[in-house]
Amino acid sequence: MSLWKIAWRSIQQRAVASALTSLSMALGVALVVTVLVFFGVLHQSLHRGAEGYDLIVGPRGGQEQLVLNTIFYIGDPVGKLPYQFYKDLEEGRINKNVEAVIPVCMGHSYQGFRVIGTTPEIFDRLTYFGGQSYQFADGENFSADDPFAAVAGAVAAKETGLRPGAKFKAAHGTGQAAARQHDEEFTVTGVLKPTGTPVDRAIFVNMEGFYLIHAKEDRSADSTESRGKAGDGAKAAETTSVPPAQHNSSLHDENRAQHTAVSAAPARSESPRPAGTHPAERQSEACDHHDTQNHDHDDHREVSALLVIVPDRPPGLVEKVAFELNNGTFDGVQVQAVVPGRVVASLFERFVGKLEAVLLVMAVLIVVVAGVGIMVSMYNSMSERRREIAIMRALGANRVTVMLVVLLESILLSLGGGALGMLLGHGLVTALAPWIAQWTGISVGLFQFRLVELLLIPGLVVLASAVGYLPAVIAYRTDVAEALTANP
Amino acid sequence: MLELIDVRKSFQQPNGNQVHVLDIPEFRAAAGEQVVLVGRSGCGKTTLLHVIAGISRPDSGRVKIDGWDITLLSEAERDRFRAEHIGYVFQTFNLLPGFSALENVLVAMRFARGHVDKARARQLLKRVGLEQRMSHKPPMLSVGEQQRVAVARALANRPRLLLADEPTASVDAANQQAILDLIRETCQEENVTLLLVTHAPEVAQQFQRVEHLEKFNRAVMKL
Repeated sequence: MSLWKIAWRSIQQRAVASALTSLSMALGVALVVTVLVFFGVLHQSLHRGAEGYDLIVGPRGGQEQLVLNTIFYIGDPVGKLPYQFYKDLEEGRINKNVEAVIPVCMGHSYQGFRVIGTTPEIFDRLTYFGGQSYQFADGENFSADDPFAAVAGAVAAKETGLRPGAKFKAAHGTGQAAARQHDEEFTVTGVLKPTGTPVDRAIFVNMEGFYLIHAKEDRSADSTESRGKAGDGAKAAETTSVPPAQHNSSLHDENRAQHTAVSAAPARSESPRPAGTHPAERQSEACDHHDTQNHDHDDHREVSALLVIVPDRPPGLVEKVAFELNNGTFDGVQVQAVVPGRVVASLFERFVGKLEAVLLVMAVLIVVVAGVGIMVSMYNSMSERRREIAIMRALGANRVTVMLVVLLESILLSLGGGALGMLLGHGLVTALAPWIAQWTGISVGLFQFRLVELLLIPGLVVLASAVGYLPAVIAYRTDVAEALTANP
Repeated sequence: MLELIDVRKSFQQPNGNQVHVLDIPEFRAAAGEQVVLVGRSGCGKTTLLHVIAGISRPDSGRVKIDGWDITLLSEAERDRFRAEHIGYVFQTFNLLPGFSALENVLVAMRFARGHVDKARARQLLKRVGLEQRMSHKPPMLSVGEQQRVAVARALANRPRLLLADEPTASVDAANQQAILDLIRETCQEENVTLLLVTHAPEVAQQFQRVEHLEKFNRAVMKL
């Protein structure tokens, strides 16, 4: 018969009090586990999004804003990069150590989900979460030849009902700010399998489609303006009288035809800019903002950011490329290149990490309070246990042995409560899994476990030893003769 | 086997006065001998047993058991000596309530030797007639059965000396003789020296050697 069993029998002897004190410990530990797992999921979610490419290149500005907007589709783009810079970087004219460049073009949405202009390579070349390739649950990737093709992320497809063959119109702006819908429709060619990354919550379109829409709308605006100036109201009325279906169809056909022409044309127009227009003025124009009607979008295609893959060669190559991009001027363009993982880590530490620390401290304090509860319960029970301890001593147990029995009892109560708390915590996280999946795209299972949780075991043992010390000392000091002769 | 020489024990009362409880010039018991100690309440019977068991330390004098002067041992050494060489049957049984009959016997073995001998524990419980009640906890046992468990527990570690403090006082009349016979027989079987304290004449008269504490405890004689 081990001392553990002797301690366990003492716990059984006071089953109700023991269960209640253990339960309070369980609730504290459950809170700690919930915080740990929840923030672990958040951490995972943030870092998953930053995987698959080496650098994000964007206009000069805030690193965090660039990363948040490019990876997590949060907030507005820092600015715009000239399309020609993208082509120069992609074709190795700016840096020979670049393997692939994927453009992203922000500023549109559909039913609250971001619509991102890009190229099909985003799903062909990029990977996520440890090198996994993007898989399609339904349909296939969009083709570079179809400017109005789109791919929906798993959550976005589920929420919006988009399926292969479905058509949708992207709205200008994002979130609450989304206002005017473009007339042109995109057709979904595929729906991605869930990735647990922000990709799940986005819709990706061929960015050529964006360029065509904006070129068409700008031409239309210019035309209306010139007709308005000529006082030809009859013609304007005629244009608006075209039925929507026919109108869209004609635009689509026209844009598809124009796409060929645009693709064949030089990326950067050589035509002189209108007087008074500067590239800086166009920063807010490209893919997302179209309120300035003086610009010629066909001549000034722009991108929000570039996802860059650097060959897996000597260590430090990514840093070298980033340094060269950050310190160079390319045809008058200055850019910033950031390593997304570092920025994400920094963001996590600065904001989420602090919140996690605060919540963890609070949860740990609750565990400590529960530990104090165990101490109070055991302390109160010591007067009625004096005889039990005296019997053990009379049977030959020395002072240290009875002290150990009491300490083991405290440890059992704490660890038992801790084990229950871990189950409760993971159960709570599992119960919240659908919400977490909805929010982060990550599926959380009952066994979503963080190694740091293992620290709870020695932590609880230390806490139990500390709170069990006072009752153990009382047991140690029990006067056997006096306790045995006292009335039972 | 048991030898007490000039053993004195006193307690300090809350008002500061010293109360002399024991003053025994000499007391001896041979190996395997069965001695009954009688005396009125408050004459120091239980204190004497505590001193012999090493639970209390005398103010002066020597307590020798099998040649070991336990007054020279540290408290931890006395605890160990008591566990290994002395069995103790209490008036109120003092079983651990959360433990089964078998576990109460095993606990005594655990504290004495660090390990248990389940076969002997079962054999002892069988000997005291509790073969079918081994897994029962004290509250589920009758008073007589509880005292039988206490006897089995006291003999668990093959003690050389068994101290029994009014073992039949809490037992109903029907069980008194049975318990007494059980203690005497098992001590005889295992050649254990028995020192039994009682204030019941019907118990005392069954023993060949009856010692009146008032007659050899000078602390009582002075009162």
